[in-house]
Amino acid sequence: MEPIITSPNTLPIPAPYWVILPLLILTFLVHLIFMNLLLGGTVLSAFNIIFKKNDPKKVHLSKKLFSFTPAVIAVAVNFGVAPLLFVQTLYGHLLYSSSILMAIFWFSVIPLVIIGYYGTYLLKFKWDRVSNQRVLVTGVVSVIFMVIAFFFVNNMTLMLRPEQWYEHYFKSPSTGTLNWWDIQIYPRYLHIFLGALAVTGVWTMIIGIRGKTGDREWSEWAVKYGSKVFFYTTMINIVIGFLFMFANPKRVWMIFMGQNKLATLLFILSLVVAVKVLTTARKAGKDPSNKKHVWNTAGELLTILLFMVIMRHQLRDAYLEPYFKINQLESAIQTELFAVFILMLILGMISLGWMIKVVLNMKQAEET
Amino acid sequence: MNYPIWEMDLGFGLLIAMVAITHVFISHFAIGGGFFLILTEYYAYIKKDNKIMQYVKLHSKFFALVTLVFGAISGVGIWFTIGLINPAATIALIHTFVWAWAIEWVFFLVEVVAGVVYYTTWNRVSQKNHFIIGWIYFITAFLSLVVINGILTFMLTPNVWLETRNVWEGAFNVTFLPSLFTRTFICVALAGVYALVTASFMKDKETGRKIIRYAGIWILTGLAFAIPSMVWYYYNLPLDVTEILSKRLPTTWNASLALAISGGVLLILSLIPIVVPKYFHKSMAFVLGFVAFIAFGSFEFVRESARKPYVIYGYMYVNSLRPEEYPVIKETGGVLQYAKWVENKDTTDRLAAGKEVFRVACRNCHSINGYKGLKKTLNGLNKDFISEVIQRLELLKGKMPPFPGNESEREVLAEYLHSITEPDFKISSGEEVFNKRCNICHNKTGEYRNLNSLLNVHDRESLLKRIPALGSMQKKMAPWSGTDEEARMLAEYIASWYFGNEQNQERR
Ligand code: HEC
Ligand code: HEC
Repeated sequence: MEPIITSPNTLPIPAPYWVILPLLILTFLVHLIFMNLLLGGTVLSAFNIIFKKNDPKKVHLSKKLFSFTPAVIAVAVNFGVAPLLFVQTLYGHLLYSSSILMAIFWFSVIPLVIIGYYGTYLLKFKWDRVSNQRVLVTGVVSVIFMVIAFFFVNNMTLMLRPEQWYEHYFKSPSTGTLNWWDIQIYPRYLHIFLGALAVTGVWTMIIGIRGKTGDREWSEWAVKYGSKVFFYTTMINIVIGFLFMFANPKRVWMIFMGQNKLATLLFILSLVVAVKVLTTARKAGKDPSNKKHVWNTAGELLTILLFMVIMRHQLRDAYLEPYFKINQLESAIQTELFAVFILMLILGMISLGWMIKVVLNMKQAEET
Repeated sequence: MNYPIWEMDLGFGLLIAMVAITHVFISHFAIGGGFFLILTEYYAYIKKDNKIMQYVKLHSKFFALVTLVFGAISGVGIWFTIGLINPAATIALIHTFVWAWAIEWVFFLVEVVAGVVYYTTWNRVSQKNHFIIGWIYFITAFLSLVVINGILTFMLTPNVWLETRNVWEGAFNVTFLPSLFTRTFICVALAGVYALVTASFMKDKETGRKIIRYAGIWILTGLAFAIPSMVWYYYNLPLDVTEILSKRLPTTWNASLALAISGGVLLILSLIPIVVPKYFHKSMAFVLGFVAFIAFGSFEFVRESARKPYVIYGYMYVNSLRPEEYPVIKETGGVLQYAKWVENKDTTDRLAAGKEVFRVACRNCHSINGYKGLKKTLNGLNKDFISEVIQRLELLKGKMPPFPGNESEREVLAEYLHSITEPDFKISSGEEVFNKRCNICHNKTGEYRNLNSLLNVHDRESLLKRIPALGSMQKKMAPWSGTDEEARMLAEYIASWYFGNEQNQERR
């Protein structure tokens, strides 16, 4: 069957693609960080609550992580909306098709997020009250977010495979199906999953150094523990990363092997920075009172994440190469409206900055 | 026809209604409630009323839990849903309005952060800063309504945009202002409705009563302005108000009726907290909330159905075809040839092809058993009649796009639709014959092709004779294809009201 590609050009997009693409990449980066904190945070906490419930330090860490989770979800969702807008603008004709192919699964993300979200609020506000059901609640919440992540991986890769759609659709037009047949989603999912744990490891280190002085022992433990989590998950993830790369068709992974210069460069750079960040994290773990190592780890991690997001985009374009290139999109530029957007963005950032300043300066409240 | 279609039997209309109505019911509260919080906080502050301040604090937590979670996620839910049920329209909207949405996203971001900061910084930042945070919240929340309102009304009345394709003219269209006013005052009323919930749960009954009364005033004020705005809005809808009143469109009519009744009930109920706050019981807060939900939901239903048969008025039908595609389909040789996601490219496998024609031409608005399900409507009708109806879809009361397929596609669709009906369903009364065979295009009385004036007969005999001859005189009308027994029942039924009408008696 011929791949089914719809023309996206019924109406033009309101700016050249190269204006929209950086916005997509940057907002997605923010989304990725918070999504990682959410997924990794809930999974790590659940793991500790279920299997390490006699270790008070780990239980305390779980409590800490959950006290942030609702806010993390709020930001993750918010910064999910922006890339969702931009990805629809550039790739909507592909994304909608793949969404419909997994119809009910895609739709179920919404109720799942709502349940998971309230679950984390429950853990935040009623941590002690639910002490007997903690295993259940954290378990359910983390499974929910793992499932959601799987659905996203599913859709984001299904949209790249138009040649498979036709057959896929007629398997079950009434509910939709997942693309179990596509072997690359397994290493891809694992790669993201371990990445989420790694980011949470660094987050734990930051919580440690930002902790109050009174709790010195726990704080140092948190830095050590975070560094350990980061180190091991990242070690494994480098291997998984290679598996993931080679699970893609050859014409796709070849772009990282010299066919595309920028892609290759980024690939090599991320390997270099990955080795660097592993050593930095090690140092931070050995010397938990030295904040500099922790911030360096975070900075290097951020660099890798940025590379990953760009490479993810290159991977997408490599997949779609035979079917669609974003420079095929016609545009009719809306200058004034874009100017309003930039203006609002600036004003918005100013008010955000002001509010963050107010919060950082506020009186410490009693621990809840 | 460029996208796959989810064969979901609940019905797309119901799915989007469920998601969208839940969302607006909360998101409008997110705006009005924000206004309520800052004004009430201000009031408590200048009156130095600590008890009320305590209440505002409590309410702000409830507010945050409802709006930040349910409001935000259901908003994303709308994105997911429209992409699933009408991708062609969604892509048209996103290509046109992505900057508007990007602006709205900035507001959303600031709004969410301000909301979280507002409820977590009680007594921890200076009173002045707390007010400023409240205002930042409310202003960004309101501005996001302004943006979304532009896009929502665009879908209903894009008017000038259709020619100029200018995004500003699209957003600031004729229903922009009436809709914005209506929604703004709905926000005010909803703020009161939600405030009643928290106020009626207060332990301190005295303060509770004060606030119950005060919340009632918010509802009443909101409604007092929302109702005239709504009338203004109605008169700018792309369909005649007389058309709604003529009951031409069953869904629009029912929703309008539900809106009028529930709006009225809400108005009366809102007097209770104002006049006798002490009799206001917790449970009543939920009753009021429920009535408000019905009222607001009906309002949204009217808007949605007023747009039929279009999804973007004048630009694209709900079945995602643009009017200018019709001749192209004809040239291509039918919908099965034109549509990308079908297995049957011709009508050889008749039932399977019919099912696919249904999917690409009707599924967007109809289901089989669920919302606007055709099975129930078509039970007891013969295949020829169904086929004749399909040929004249645009003449039905329902405001449908014309059938896009060719002759043989119409035939297989009719066969398929006939095959889903219950085989031994028997029509048992003249009224039922009338509802199934005539009422879909005519009203008994009233404005819409009403038979009282169209039928020109003098006695029962000639009425009975007229029925089999219908359609042979009037090409637009489906020829009679029912049984003789049905014709007799129908004639009896029509006679029962037709000759009771004085005007027609004179004619006799
Ligand atoms: C734009 C959406 C839309 C499309 C597309 C559409 N319909 Fe309808 N149809 C309606 C509406 C609205 C009604 C009126 C029912 C109501 O308002 O409850 C209706 C009514 C009907 C009725 C009369 C029964 C009744 O409930 O009043 C039949 C029969 C019907 N449609 C068949 C079809 C067929 C067959 C197709 C596909 C070729 C089709 N429709 C496509 C919107 C649509
Ligand atoms: C597919 C839609 C449709 C259906 C179904 C339908 N009609 Fe009509 N009918 C029309 C249209 C369109 C006209 C023309 C009205 C006009 O010119 O204003 C019409 C005209 C008429 C007229 C006046 C012209 C004439 O031929 O005498 C009568 C009487 C009438 N219909 C009766 C009926 C009865 C009785 C039924 C049910 C058995 C029925 N119609 C079913 C669409 C329909």
